[in-house]
Amino acid sequence: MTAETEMRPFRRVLVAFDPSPQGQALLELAAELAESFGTPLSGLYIEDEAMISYAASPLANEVTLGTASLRALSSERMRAHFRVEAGLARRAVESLRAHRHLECSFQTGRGRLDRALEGVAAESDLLLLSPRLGPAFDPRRPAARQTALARSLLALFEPARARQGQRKRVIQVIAADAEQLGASLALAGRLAARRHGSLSVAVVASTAPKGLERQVRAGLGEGVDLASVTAAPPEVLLEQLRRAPPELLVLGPAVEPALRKALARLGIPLLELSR
Amino acid sequence: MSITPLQPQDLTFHCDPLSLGIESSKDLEPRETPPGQDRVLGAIDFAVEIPGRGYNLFLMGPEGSGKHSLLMRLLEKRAAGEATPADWVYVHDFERKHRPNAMRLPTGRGVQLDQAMQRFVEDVREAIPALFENEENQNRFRTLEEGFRQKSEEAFEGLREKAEEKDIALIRTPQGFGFAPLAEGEIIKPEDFEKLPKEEQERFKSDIEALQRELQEVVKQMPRWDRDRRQALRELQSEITAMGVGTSLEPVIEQFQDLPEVLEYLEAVKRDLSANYHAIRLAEQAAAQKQEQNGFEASFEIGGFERYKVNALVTHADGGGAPVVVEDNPTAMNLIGRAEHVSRFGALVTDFSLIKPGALHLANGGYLVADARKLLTQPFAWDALKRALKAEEIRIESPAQSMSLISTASLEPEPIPLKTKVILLGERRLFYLLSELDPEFEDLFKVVGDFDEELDREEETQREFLRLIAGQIAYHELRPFDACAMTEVLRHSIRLAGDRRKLSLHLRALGDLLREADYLAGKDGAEIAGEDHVRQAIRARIHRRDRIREKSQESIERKIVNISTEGAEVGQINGLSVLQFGGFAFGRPSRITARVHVGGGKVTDIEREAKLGGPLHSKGVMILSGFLAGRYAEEQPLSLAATLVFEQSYGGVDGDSASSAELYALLSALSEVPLRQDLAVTGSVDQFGRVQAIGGVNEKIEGFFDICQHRGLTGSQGVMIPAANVEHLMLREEVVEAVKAGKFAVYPVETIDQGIELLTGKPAGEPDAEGVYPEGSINALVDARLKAFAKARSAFAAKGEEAPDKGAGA
Repeated sequence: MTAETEMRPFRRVLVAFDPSPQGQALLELAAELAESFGTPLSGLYIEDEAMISYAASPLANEVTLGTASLRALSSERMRAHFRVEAGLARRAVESLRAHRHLECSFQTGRGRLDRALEGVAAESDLLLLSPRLGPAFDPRRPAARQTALARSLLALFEPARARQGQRKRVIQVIAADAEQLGASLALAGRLAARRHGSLSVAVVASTAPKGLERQVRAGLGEGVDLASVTAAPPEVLLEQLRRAPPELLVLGPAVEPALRKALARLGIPLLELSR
Repeated sequence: MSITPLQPQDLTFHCDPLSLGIESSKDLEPRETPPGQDRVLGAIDFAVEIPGRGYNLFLMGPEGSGKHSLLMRLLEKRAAGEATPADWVYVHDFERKHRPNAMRLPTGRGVQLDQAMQRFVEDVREAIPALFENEENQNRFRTLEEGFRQKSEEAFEGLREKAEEKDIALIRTPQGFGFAPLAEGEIIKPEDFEKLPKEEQERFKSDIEALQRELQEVVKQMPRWDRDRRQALRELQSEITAMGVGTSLEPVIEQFQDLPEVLEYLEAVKRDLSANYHAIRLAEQAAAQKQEQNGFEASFEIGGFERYKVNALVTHADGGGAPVVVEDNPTAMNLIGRAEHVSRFGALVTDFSLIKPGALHLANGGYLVADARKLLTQPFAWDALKRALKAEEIRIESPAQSMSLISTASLEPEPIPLKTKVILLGERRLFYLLSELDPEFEDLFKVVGDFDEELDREEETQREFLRLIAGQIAYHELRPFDACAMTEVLRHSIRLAGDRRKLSLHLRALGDLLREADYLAGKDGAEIAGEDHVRQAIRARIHRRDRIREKSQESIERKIVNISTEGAEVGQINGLSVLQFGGFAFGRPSRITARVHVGGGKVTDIEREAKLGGPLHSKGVMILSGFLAGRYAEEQPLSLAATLVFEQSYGGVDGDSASSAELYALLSALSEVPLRQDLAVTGSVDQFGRVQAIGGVNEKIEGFFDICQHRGLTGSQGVMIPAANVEHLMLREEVVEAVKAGKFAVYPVETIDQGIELLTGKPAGEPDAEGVYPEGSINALVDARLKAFAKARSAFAAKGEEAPDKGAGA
């Protein structure tokens, strides 16, 4: 059984984002994935009620990034801020619809983040999330309440923050072991084919499991240029990626947190999947 | 005192073609430069050899005299053997961008530097980006970026972890970060917080405040970390750029190791490029983007790498000799150069690469030749040339800049030292005007070459002249001229000189004649141009231009203009004048009349009164009063009032060549003796009655001859000319033939008495010891008339009346 056959066809790609540069990058990737799978895209902006409610507390202050000054928060300010961000997010999706001719929709969710997501996740099979949404949606720690979410494929996307250098037109899949390649292989394969680039696959191990390459090839569709299939310990893997950074890292589940942290620090866009 | 008419041989120049000793011009060794120009050749040699400021040359002489070709032949020969001057380039000044630096390089090295820097710029455009993109350097950048990112992340992570330990969450807020109390991983709602025990609330409050302070410290550090990050990035970029620049510049440095000034410049390039590489690259990328967006060709951007190229302003090939530059359009900017402008998004901008050399740059170390008239008629050009010669440097500035008409930032290229000989060619009049009106002129043009357009005709010079003609035939690649044709050319040269003892060196006129005769010979299918071809060419040239002469002749022939060629009239005479239109001159007879009456001794020049007479003509008429008073009114007042006029003259009259004719008319009017109308008269006269030489004698004689010939030559007709003009006679063949046949005569006259006898057939009369003229002589009749006028005037005065201005006419 291959990863490709394991995956149900996506009905909809849902992207929960804010209008920060990182959120924009997430939206771009979501659009690309929706195009690769030929599915509609839904944009979601969540006005976090918990934050609004907390902002009313006398304890609620913020340290501003520009001036390091301390300012009191208020529910009104927080609501106004969310409204502005929601408007910007809506415009970003509309722009996508106009320029990429993609079937898109947008909605604003209100309430607690997890509940808001629950409400829309039922119709989506791929949920792309920004790490800014908070630890509750970390695909590594699915919450007990995430019943609808538990059925979806969660992907946390962290765009590159470091200086953009010249990268190889390669998408690199990293999995904890061969069994964990799962959806990450199929998803990365689609993206590589769409970008006319190649795909490299690595599992974190000192020696390659028997039949790894055959398994990987079987998990990919037609037209994917498979550049390499390797197994390497974390330090070797990191060094290889430093020397020849790919344009996207697709991380399977169950990767050691230390390695994940080190990978995130490479400055390469990183897409981390829940399964 | 009778006058003998001139013999045919006195009327023209005869030369036996056989005496030339040649069959054709091919037998003569061609001569390139005109003979007899020792004075001017000496001046040219002196001017080009003598060192020192201001020893420039003004070569003067009439237009078409061949001074330009003579000068160029001499200069080119001389310059070929002289040292080739240095090259000059302009380079960008990285400190003062508006003031490009001039660099002097050994001959031929300017082009080399230009090419080397072009290669360098191309290399820098490609090699340095490649250096930045190589794996090692990419890793260095990533490590550096990551180090700084890690620093801030660790600070935040540390805070987050510290907060989590105290059940406090680090949360994103609209403009930064905040802290919120947690319970079971969820932010505690304000109403739930109120329900917490007081101690718990206080603990949260105090912990959150402490965390906020720490967070503030972290945030305060962030700009410094960012500054450190940027600084570290810049240093790394500079290091990589310096390495790239060093590698690219190495071959250039090696090539110009022997030139310290170039090495200094290359060092400046290195410094500037290392410091500004990224800004320049961004500027170039922005320009390319603009080009793409706007769809038109991106204009040159000096903000880009172009600034490291050099502007090879003046370059020479080694061994090419000193330059000889002829500036045909000596405008100020063509002389001193210019900084051109290009339009960039609606604004006109310039930079060092747009500096264009002027003639002075190109001629630096050699010779600059320009036409003085053109130079003086170009606004600001003369001043610009003088400034450069005075300062001995070429400073490029537009007229608007030099007159302070604009004050916008523009280029001020470093001046280039000037060492050139400037040679101006022009008419004498210009030289004299400049000498008189421009006090700086003599300082800057200390040498004058006076080009003589005539040559004394002697056996030796005539031979040299013929060699010159042979040289012109060879130069213009014409067919040979036979001996007879060469004789005709010689005759034409004498006619041009207007003096049988001179040869004209007007090379343009002679060259034109040779070419036109050659053309006619070609039409005849002749291999050698002959005498007829030269004559035809002269006739055709006259025919093309003599429409006005024909009209003038026609009006006389149809008696619209009254000119008598037979009979005799009192107070009327045929004078002769010359009309000149565009280089073509012809003679025309004019009827001059005189009327006399009692008056106060004034001879009125009607031409002057009508403002048609020029000053020389008026002077001639005033001389007549002097003559009359001196000869006839020593003991009595000159009680004459006379009027003189050129009848049917509607244009201006100038010159004194008609003064003898006017005097004859006056004497006729006073003596009441008629003058012969079959004679025409020319010549000026002095106060003693001596007839003096005039110009245009040939044209004047031929003008009267043509009228007489048309009406039929009677044998009595002729022209009286000053005896001093005899050696200027070079008459047309048909006039000479008519004289030979006794049908026409030319009389050389020395005095008025000689002339009046010929015109009246009566003796002039010499005074005896008592001063009394013989009875019946012209002088006696004039004297008697004047005495009668004096008496009449005296009678009027006795009656208390002034002598009438009009009354007793001739």
